[in-house]
Amino acid sequence: MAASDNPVDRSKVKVCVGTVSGPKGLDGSLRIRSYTTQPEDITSYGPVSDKTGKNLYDIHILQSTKKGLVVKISGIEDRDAAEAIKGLDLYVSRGLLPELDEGEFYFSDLIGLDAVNLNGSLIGKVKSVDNFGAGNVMELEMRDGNFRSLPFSLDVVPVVDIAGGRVVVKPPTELDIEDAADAMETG
Amino acid sequence: MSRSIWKGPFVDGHLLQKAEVAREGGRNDVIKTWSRRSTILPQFVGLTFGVYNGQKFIPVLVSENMVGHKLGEFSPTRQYYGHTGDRKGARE
Repeated sequence: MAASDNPVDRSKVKVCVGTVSGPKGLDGSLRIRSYTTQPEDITSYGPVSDKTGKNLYDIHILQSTKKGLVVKISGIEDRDAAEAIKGLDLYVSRGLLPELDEGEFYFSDLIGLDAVNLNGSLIGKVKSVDNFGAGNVMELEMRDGNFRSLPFSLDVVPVVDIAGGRVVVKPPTELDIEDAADAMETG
Repeated sequence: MSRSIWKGPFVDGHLLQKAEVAREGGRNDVIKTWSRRSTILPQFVGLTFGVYNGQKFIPVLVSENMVGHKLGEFSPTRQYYGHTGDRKGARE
């Protein structure tokens, strides 16, 4: 099975940067959960929109708390209006995100890419990219429905072709307990 | 109450064995382990462990500032697929 031939135009993709958690107080202030690296950066990409892109919202940060940001959004003047947009996801266009340094990737660009092996045959899709404190980890949803986590390193992922919609993956060999015992015995 | 210093850090013997083999081989293997309780030792720096989280093996590339922590700290047992926002990273 070959990798998909219709890569998505990433510049038109929208990136979710926050969600409206709910109203705060009576004056139309809202609590929002920010998904940006620094929560306050949610305002640095200009007005945010809903998923359709038709409704634009200007965000003004009032307070940063443990539970998220407290903000005022243009056009939301009372609690009822704030209640009405509870749960709304806030998006910015992918093109508004800053240029990356050489060799860097936005995780959102990698999710959904086809994962192919060195022969070019499809082995799965990129499900998520995370960092749990010990290097970046790429999770693949394999063709058989299982999930497999791999280090996002140059050895394991030698090629990232976002325009082509694929990553080339060379899964590392896994040293198991029997291998170690055999190696110790043979010296 | 913290662990007595005279005991030294706890590491499962089989994990030490595996790490030694991987270091001698000098290859870029992932060392599969179920031993989340083992302390990360200085000789593990540079190695990649696949630490079991109950479902799958999460790759843990050991760096200097992880020494003294437990392997399980870097292999979360609960998966949350949230939005990535503007998070970025490079291949190491």
